[in-house]
Formats: sequence, structure tokens, C-alpha cells
Amino acid sequence: MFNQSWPRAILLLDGDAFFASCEQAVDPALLGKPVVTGKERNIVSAASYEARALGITRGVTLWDAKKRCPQLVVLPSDYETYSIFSKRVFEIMRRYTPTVEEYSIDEGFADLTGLRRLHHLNYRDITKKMQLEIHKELGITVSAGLSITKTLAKIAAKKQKPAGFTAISGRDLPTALSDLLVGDIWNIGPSTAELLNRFGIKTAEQFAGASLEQVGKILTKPGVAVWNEINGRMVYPVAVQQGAPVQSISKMKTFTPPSNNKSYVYSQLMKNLDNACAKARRHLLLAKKIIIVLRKNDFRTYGLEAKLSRPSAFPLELSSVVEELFMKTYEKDIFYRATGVLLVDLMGNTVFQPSLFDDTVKIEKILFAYRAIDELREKYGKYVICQGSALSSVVSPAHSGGENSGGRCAEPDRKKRLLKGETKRRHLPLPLFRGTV
Amino acid sequence: MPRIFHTFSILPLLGFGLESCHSRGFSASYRSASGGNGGVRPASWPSPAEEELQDTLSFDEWLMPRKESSFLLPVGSTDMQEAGILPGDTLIVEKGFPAHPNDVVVVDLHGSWKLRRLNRQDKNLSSPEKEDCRLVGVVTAVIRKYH
Repeated sequence: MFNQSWPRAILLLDGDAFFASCEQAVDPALLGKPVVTGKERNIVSAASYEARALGITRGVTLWDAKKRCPQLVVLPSDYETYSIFSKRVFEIMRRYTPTVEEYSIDEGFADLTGLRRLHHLNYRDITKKMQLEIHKELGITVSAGLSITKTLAKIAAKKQKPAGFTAISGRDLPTALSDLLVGDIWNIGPSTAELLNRFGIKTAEQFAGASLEQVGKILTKPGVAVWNEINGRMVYPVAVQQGAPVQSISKMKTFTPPSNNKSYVYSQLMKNLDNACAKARRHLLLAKKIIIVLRKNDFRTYGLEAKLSRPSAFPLELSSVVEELFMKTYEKDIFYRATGVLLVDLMGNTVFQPSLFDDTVKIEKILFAYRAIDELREKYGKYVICQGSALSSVVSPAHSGGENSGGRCAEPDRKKRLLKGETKRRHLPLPLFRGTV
Repeated sequence: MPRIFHTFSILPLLGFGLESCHSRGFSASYRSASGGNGGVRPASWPSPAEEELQDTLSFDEWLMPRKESSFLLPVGSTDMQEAGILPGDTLIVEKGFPAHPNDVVVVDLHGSWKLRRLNRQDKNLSSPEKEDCRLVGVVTAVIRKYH
């Protein structure tokens, strides 16, 4: 298909059981043992390869996991440590190329095109060197996918795990996709996959082999982009900015045990509103639209959205809107397990134009109040001040141990083992080995 | 030497980027000039202190020249008392870099971590695997914080 093997070289490094691997890297006693994280949510959020070998997968309840494997080590998530490892993986990638995209906490794309001569290595060996350095310096493994577009690199990285390396060059192209279903392609959702299936396109190879005319008829623009990508024509470049640009902000939190107490569920929603707005203000953004989400105990999720007459990131202004949406969504006597707030249609807060009918003095006062609130949160932690209606989510006994019912034991080790000078909230930005010497 | 600028006179100067001035100092004086009432503010030459301090190390850089591979490890035993490492100290341990004779290192002995000083015979420890003794990392700094 391609007369050149590497018109571009796009690499994806994907952490192997990332959260569990980080835990094993800081605690020698966990090496070789089945480890899962997610204690604070009562659900497995990551399972080490030893745990996976015993049939434990992501999303299983801890109760089921423990039943299947009594010797299972269950840990609360320590996102601070995972984030440090994540940043370090990207730093090691940047030793080889400045074009690194931090795609998620455990996945990073890199564009290696044209760097063979600089490093006196071929693309495969550059990748292997990165993997080796990550393993030696961080004690975790990553799997690599090397190809000529991001979508193909993503496919390659999934082929061999853990610590795997798979290359799909331009010359390998149509055949490398033969054993892959369309639904497993990055950016092809279940409904798109079903649609393609109905037209007889079942495997990625069939999808790649379809004509533009055919694809254009079935799919919209994003679908055609994926079709181009798996045919080796780059549509998505490796985006260098750290993390994706903020397009929406969502704060969704599960609380355990589930509750049918209206004011408690509402306070949870308000806490999410507080946190989502604080994040928006931190990024100097205002939202034009707000969505609230309530998740019932059976995982069925309901949401409502509202357009705002004026962009805002201030709970004082938004709480009345959120209350209205909540009243319309909430059903009596139903147990809820999670609430969420999404801020979408974001814009910069620099061009803040109150309309003719707005009370500008009041707006000034609100701005002033939130400057003070943000300073307080910065200095004393995010729960030091909140909307009155969010109070019961913050001071309820369920909250005292971090977020949920696990209580103190669901707090990560890093929060309990403090070095001199560290506070519960602020730690040195280095991973702390568990245990002492 | 203090000088007086009018706002309108600074703009063209900025465009030229006067060779002998730091553009940073100029943009700062421009900001203060435009922010005031009347538009006239003294704009002084920037202090050389800022420039001179470019070449200093932060404590972070000094303690962790290779931050990506540095970890913290608290000390609990008196094993390395003779090297001045006491319980309560915090070690900075660097992973993935070769150890040299005389280095204090963290080794994994049958699954438990110990502090050791490398002597000449241990040289092959610096290659990661050696039967029941594995090199975890090299101790690059010891921190004892009193307050």
C-alpha cells in the first residue's frame, strides 16, 4: 500500500495496569502479588497482571474480587503518586523528542519522524530505549505501539501487553488490521460499529478497504477521519500542549453508601458545582452551558442541561439554575449513587461583558467574593469554604475519610505518612517508597 | 539613571528593541506608564540582580539533578549509623543509574530493603541482577530536617 515503511513515525506508550504498577513500584512487598486499587469506591479501578491472571478485571466490585481471590491486596487510589509517575513517563519520552502529547494519565503519543539520524537509532530502537529507561528509572512497564498515524499506533499498542512492542509500518498496512473488529478502533463507538456492521463492514481491514464514497455515505466527518487514519493518512497530529485544551469541565463523584435523602444528594451535587466552578476559574474560563447528572443505584444516569443567559463560573449565580434542574431530575424514594456537574461551551473570562440588564455592581461583588474564596481554597484546601447547600456533603461522617465509606482506611498511604514539614494536603512532589530502611 | 518616558514615546522604542536595554525592563515600565493617570511614570533601568541570578540552582535542582528518577525513602534503622545516616532521616534514592564503589545503596535482599555501602568486590551489583541481591537505587542525598 505504501511504498515507504515510515512516512511518519508516531509512537504511543501505554502504561501497563498503570495504577497498580505504580503501587508495586513504590512498595517492594507488593511485587509479584495480585494488587488492585479503588478501595475508596469499592470497585476495582486497576488490577495488576497478577490479579488479572486470577480473573479480576477493572469494574468488578471489591466484594466479588475478594471472594474470587482472598489474598488480594486492595489499596485506596493515590492519584498524587500516579500523577507523578505519569509526568515522569512523559519527561523520559521528551528526552528523545519534543513532540509529546500527554493524552491521558497513562498514555502518551510522541512523533519520532526524522529523529533516526539524531539518535543514531532506528524507530524501533528509540522506542525500546524509552521503554528500558522507564522500566529502570521508574520501576514500571509500558507497552509501545509504533505506526504512521495515531489511530494505528493506538491499535499497535494494544496488541502485546505488558511491556510489549508492536510496529505497524506503512508496508504492513492492510493485513495488520485483519484480526481487529471495527468496534475496537479508537474513536469508533459502539453505535458507529453497529452501523458499519449493518453495511457488512466487520473488521478493521474491511473498513480500511472500503471506498471513500462508501464511507462518506455511511459516516460523518469524524468517521471518515478515522478511515483515513487507519489507511495511514494522518488526520490527527501529535498535539504538543500538555494535556488537551480544556473544552469542558466535569466533576462527577460517587458516594457510598447510595442515598435516597434528597438534601444529601443535592448537597453532593452542589459540592460538584463548587469544584467544577473552581476549576473553571483556575483555567480562567466561564461556561455558557451547564449540565447536571444524577446516577441511580442501578447505574442508570439522568441529566438535564441549561443554557446560561450570561457565561459564569460562580456557584452563587449558578445554584438557582442547578436547583431547578435538580428538582426536575430528582425522583422521590430512589437511591442515588453519584452526581455530576458539567460545564460546557467554555470561553475565556477575559472578555467579560455583562449585558444591559445585568446588575453590574452585584457582578463586581460576586467577582470580588470569589477572588477571596479562591485564595482561601488555595491556602487551606478545597473544603475550607463551600456553598451552604453543599455543607452536608463535606461535614457528613461519610466525608471524614476522604470521600467515602471506607473511612480512614480508604485514605492512600501517602496522606498518612508525612515527612517532617509536609502537611496532610501538601507533599513533596516525589514518590515516597513504602516502608523504611 | 532615572529617565522619564511618555507612554507614546515608549511604544516605538519597544519596537526597535534597544540593544543596550533589557526588553523585560522596558515592557514593565510601559505597563506602569499606561496604567497610571496622566501616563507619565519614571522608568528606570532594570536592576542587574535579576539577570545575575539566572545561573543559580534551586534547592530542587541541587538535591535532585535527575528528578525523574529520584524517590524518597525514610530511614528507620541504625544500619548505616557509621555513614551518618540515622533513623528519622529521609533519603533521596536515584533509580536506574550505575552505582560506584563506596556509594551508599539500597538493595533488595530476599524481598526486604536494606542500606549497604558498596565496596570494590560488589562491583557487579551495579548490573541490576545478582542472585539474591538486587540493586534498588543509589542514595544521592540524606536529609535531616529539624523543624
